[in-house]
Amino acid sequence: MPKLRRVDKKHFKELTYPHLEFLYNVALKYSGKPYDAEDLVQETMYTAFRKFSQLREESKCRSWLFMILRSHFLKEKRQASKRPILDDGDGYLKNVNSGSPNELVEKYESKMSKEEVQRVLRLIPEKFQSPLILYYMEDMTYQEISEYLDIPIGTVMSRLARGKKYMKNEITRRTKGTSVVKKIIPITGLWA
Amino acid sequence: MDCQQFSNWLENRDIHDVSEADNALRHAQTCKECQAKLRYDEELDKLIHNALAKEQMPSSLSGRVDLSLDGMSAGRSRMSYRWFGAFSAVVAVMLVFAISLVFSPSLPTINDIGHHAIIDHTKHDDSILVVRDLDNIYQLGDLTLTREEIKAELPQGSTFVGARICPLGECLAIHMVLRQNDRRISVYLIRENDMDFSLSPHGRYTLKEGSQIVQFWKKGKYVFAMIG
Repeated sequence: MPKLRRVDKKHFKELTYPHLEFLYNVALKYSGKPYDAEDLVQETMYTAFRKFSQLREESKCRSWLFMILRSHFLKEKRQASKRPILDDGDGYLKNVNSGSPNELVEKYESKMSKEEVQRVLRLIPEKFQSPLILYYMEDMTYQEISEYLDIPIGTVMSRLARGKKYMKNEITRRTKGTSVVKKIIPITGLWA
Repeated sequence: MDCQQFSNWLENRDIHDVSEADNALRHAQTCKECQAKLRYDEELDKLIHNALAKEQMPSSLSGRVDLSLDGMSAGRSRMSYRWFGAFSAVVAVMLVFAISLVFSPSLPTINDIGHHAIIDHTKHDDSILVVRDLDNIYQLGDLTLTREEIKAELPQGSTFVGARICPLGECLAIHMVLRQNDRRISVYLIRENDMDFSLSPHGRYTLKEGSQIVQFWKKGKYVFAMIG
């Protein structure tokens, strides 16, 4: 027997749909695959619709959606095996001398595609990924990232510093063709 | 500040005090090697920034989200109101039985319209469409809605394929066929006076039968029913 039910989606759509592109882009940076990103956004919107009554301040809709997406991503990631984080302990500036920067950057642009840089991003734990995505993709300030992720501003700063350092290190190493891992440190216990 | 301190500052800029930046930049002006490191770091930053820039969202995504929300609305109502639904069903059956003893059947209910619309949507062939342009829809009936008013009710991004007149049980409807990517959508336009129910002007209703979902809403004196 068919059932009839009143659905009030108009308000939900007005409030949430303008953020679909933002959600899709965050999901794409997390997952690296357009289809996975679309699925992640769908799951996010599904949960958001179910929990719409929990959104207290409409002005915070974007960060609320982001947190839902992030928790979905983390749930999926938890099911996957933990990846090692690669760190040889050296800084990325050690081989730069006064004559080399332009040459190296040109080399990056020809060697490091956008996908390659995004792959490097996905090598690091989510707690460093999220601040980096919001910082580089959304040009957010430390304060805004702190509000989005609900963590202290000092934590944002240190996570950004560590995340950037890791990415720059890895890009430098890959471009120079020396992507040999000298030391593998498991995620657990690192950057607590 | 010496070169080692400069490198340390540059690699960990986010956690250093802003006041150290002046010192560091002053040092870079006097040291070619550190100046090169600074430029190199800025270029790396630009590279990451460009790689993580926003991309365009697939145009089909909002449609997919729509579909998943529609599906959920119907599914959720089944779960949350299971007992209430069962009770309502018993009451409804008794009520329908009692009413049927007193009144003879007349105008179709929303369930009738939904049921016939689902059958029509799944069975008919697009080759029998009479009108192929939305401007010519007035050839099918005396509509008081303007072309723009009708268009505003159709799903965004869909294209008009054609329209025809079709019977939905006891009443006649204008059946519009639309395409959105690979989806075929049917929108039925029925006069509210021809039906045995009334809808709130701002409400949107769904009716689920099997795997098919029909959405109903009202515009002026007309009811729209959409499937697909």
